[in-house]
Amino acid sequence: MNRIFRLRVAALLVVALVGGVLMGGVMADESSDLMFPVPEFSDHPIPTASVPEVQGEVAPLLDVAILFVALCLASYFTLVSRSRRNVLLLTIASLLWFGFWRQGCVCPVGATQNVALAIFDPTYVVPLTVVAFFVLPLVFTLFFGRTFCASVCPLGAMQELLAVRSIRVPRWLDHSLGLVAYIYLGAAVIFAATKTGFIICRYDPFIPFFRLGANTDMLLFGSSILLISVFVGRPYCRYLCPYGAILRVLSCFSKWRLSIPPDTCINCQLCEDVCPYGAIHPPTVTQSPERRRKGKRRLVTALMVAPVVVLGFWWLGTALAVPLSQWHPESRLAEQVRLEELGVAASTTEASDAFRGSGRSVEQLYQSALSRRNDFVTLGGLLGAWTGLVIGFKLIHLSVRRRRDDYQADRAGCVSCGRCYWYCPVEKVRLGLISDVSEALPDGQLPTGPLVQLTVGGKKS
Amino acid sequence: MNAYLGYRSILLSAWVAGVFSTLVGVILVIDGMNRLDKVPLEATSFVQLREQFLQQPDNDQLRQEIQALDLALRQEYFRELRFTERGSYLLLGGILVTLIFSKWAATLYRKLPRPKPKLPGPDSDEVLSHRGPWAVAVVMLVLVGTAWAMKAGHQSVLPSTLDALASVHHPVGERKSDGQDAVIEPVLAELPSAAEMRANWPSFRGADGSGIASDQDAPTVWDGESGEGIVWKAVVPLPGVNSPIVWQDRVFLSGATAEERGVYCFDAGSGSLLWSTDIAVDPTVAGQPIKTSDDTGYAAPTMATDGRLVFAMFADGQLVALDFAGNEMWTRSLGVPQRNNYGHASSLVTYQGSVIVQYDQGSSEDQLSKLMCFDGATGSPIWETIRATPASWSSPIVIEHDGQAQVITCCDPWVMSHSPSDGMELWRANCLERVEVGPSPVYSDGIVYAGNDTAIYAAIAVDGSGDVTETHVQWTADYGLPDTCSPLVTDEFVLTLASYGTLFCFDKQKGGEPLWEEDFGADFLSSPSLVGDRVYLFSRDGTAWVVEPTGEACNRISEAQLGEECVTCPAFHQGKIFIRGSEHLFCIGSANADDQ
Repeated sequence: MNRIFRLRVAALLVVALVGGVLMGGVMADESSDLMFPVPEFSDHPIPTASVPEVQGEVAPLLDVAILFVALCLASYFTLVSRSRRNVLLLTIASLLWFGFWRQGCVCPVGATQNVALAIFDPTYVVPLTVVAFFVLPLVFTLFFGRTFCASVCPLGAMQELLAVRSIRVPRWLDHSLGLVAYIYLGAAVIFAATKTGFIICRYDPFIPFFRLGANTDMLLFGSSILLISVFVGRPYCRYLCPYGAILRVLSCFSKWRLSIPPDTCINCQLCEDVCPYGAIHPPTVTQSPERRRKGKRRLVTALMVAPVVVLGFWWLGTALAVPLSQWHPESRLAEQVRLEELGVAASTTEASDAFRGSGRSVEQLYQSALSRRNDFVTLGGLLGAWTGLVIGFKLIHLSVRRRRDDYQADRAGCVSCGRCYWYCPVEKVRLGLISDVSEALPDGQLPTGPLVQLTVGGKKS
Repeated sequence: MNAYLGYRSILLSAWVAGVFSTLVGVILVIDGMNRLDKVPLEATSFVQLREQFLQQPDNDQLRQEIQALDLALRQEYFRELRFTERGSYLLLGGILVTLIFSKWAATLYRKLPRPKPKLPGPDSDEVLSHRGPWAVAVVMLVLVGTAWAMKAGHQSVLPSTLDALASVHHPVGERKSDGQDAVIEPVLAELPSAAEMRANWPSFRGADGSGIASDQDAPTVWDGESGEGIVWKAVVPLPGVNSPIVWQDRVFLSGATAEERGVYCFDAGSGSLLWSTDIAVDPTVAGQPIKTSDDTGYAAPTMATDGRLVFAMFADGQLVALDFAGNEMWTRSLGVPQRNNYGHASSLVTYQGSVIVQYDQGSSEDQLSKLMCFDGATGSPIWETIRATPASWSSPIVIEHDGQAQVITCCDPWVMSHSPSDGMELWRANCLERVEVGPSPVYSDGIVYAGNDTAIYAAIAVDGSGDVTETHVQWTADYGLPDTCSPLVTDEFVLTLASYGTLFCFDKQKGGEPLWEEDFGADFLSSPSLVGDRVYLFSRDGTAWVVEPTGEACNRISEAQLGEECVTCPAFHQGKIFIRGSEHLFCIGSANADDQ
């Protein structure tokens, strides 16, 4: 029964994600804004186009300051005061400020692209505030774990508030779907570096809600993600967020991180199923010699397969030069102009009309498009190699067994939301709500596992 | 008690807010769906007024009406936008209140979980390390599939390299094989006219698939072995039973074996191979068994051109488009034909820049047969019609009757007509019950002539709709029917050629019994053709007859030898005959025929 349920969950999740991705693809091809022609007979005065005034320096600095304070508070609430209530209040405040008030921009997730473009294009000047938005959460993660995800990121905040009926996603499915975020990260960096587009921002499913407006496709995409969020905790953070992918890696090396019990884990199992993100793992059991041998063989196989996967995906990536290059608007324009030249295009487009009015020659346009396509042979190969590398590493990671003597939060997957605190009897003793852990255990049940002394850092004392 | 009441009231508040949010959400969704396709300035009344104004540009009253309606439509649009915006705020507020009260209620009602003692089960890490790699493998497969779909779905109409780009804008000769400075013009920018199509030989049996040349004269005497009457003959690199097509000074053919396939362009004047392009086997069908027979092989479908690109198809269902410089523009695999006893043989035909494929396969229950139309420039599918018909080997024709274009196809048991614009069926007639359909249909003066040995031959008026078997079949014949060769319809006669060597002549208006029959004592797979009043017949052993049919008899004009086996149909262009033998492509005529 349990297995069937898991399979259903897996199928639902896959269908939802594929649907979302397909919708994204449709959006890429068909999204267009409604453009009104100028009234022809009206006396209505046509407003002259004006450039918005440059934003003062105060507002961006204020944003950075608020981000810094929010990160400090999030780290304090998570690791020191261990207050889920405060974390939740900060989550709501972050959603209101960074989400609805600042309309989701600038955010560290999208800032990844600005930084990537600045690295590859020396002529692009990236604002220091954007750099600060990109760097600050990374630094905090290195010290305190994913406290940014916990209550500062507006995208995560929205999903956090909706995670009311979360079902447990099997770990094997969780790990495999998590690969998508790394591939998305690679694609976003390549597209940003080549000025093809900032796809993270373009396909941000939460922007329609932050700005209260978007085309129907984006609205449907965003709604789908939110709907899934009710049943699958933080689907965007876990399976799509490219910035989250970076934070997952850094969080593995963080100096301090969330610990479920404040002091001693009594292995009471009460926290096991409360994490909506499947980030609490039970103690491991001792392996039989035969299983240990199998595990070693699996690791050797993974080590041998990984380079082949990298090479295979590199080759696959080089073959995608045409579709990848066609994400660039100029390449699409070249295709359209070529179709018009061949006489098979049904009609001209606004872009092709504008191009013909620009005085630029068709040859130059074609040259540019073909040159970009050649570049994308290399870039596609790099994206493929990156994808292969991520998959290869995941295969090796899955083959390495780590010993746990008690219930622990997953270093990469834990978003430091603090939901597990309330369920921990040791935490209740700390807060003075009960005098002994046995009072919190059901029907006088006693802890069966070994008692392990922990520090806040999660290390054995 | 107070705590309980407090919990109840909080929960009730959450419910009220939830219901409110749902109602607002539903209203917003309904309102949004109603406005999905609504473009304010495309309102019918507005468009009509504008059209009226174009007729009466000096009508001031009309002008003011348009102005007022324009303003009203814009105001309405922005009013609707404000409605959505306010609704969104209401929805957001409702959801927030729902969440806050739900959370509050949940906190008050929160209980610790009561986990039951667990039986020893598999270690979760063990399960992860066992299933995880398989899940990752599935993700890899999905990624490979996505990559393949991206590559297949995003074809480029631009040349593949910067060097080839130059060939698009300048005459190119780089792809020639004989070292001569052949000049190949760039592809045409516009679709050729119907007259241009008729002046060339762009598809199987000419522009309209009738086998009738626009020329009035063609050679009657030649000898392939001695070279008499042969302008040139050129070796075709790979075998194939497809017929040559001609566009201006270029002759196109395809050839294939189980391992290789290629498209060839010959200079019509000299016979030199201007270019040959190898076509790679599509990886999706590589290694799959492909059913063929000795009479079809791997390159049976005759190519087609719309004067800008040439299209070829092979036995494994691979459709490919090349420009006139031999650059592969796109390729599309339609999948290996299933349960096709003789191998795919239906030829291609073009319509307004698109290419149409009759892809019949399997049995009628399988519903695998399709009539498909692809954008010639990109290979993107335009439409596809699934037909409950078994495999057939007949080729489609595109006709125009009373200003309406129709694609006519033959299959068991129907002669069918579809619109080439959207693939919608126009009419069908039951004439081909339980036969393996080989001959292609022919259109002449409002009538389609189609039939097959062991069934009947029928003349069907093309102005019907639905099942026209009882209403539009003008006449039928049940003797002297062809099994492979397509018929030839002249002004007066319908000529059918049986593969065992007998030519039958029917009255075009009456059908019924043949007026006469003439036996040539040879086997035929090549369909008869007409130049002026003369009918050209090429037998399988390479012997050709030129005859002149009358109401009374078949007058033989001449007999000639090609010198090698021939199962293809000739192409006639500018006084010359282009015919493919088993090894060579022949150009029959006089060297200075162009000047005549």
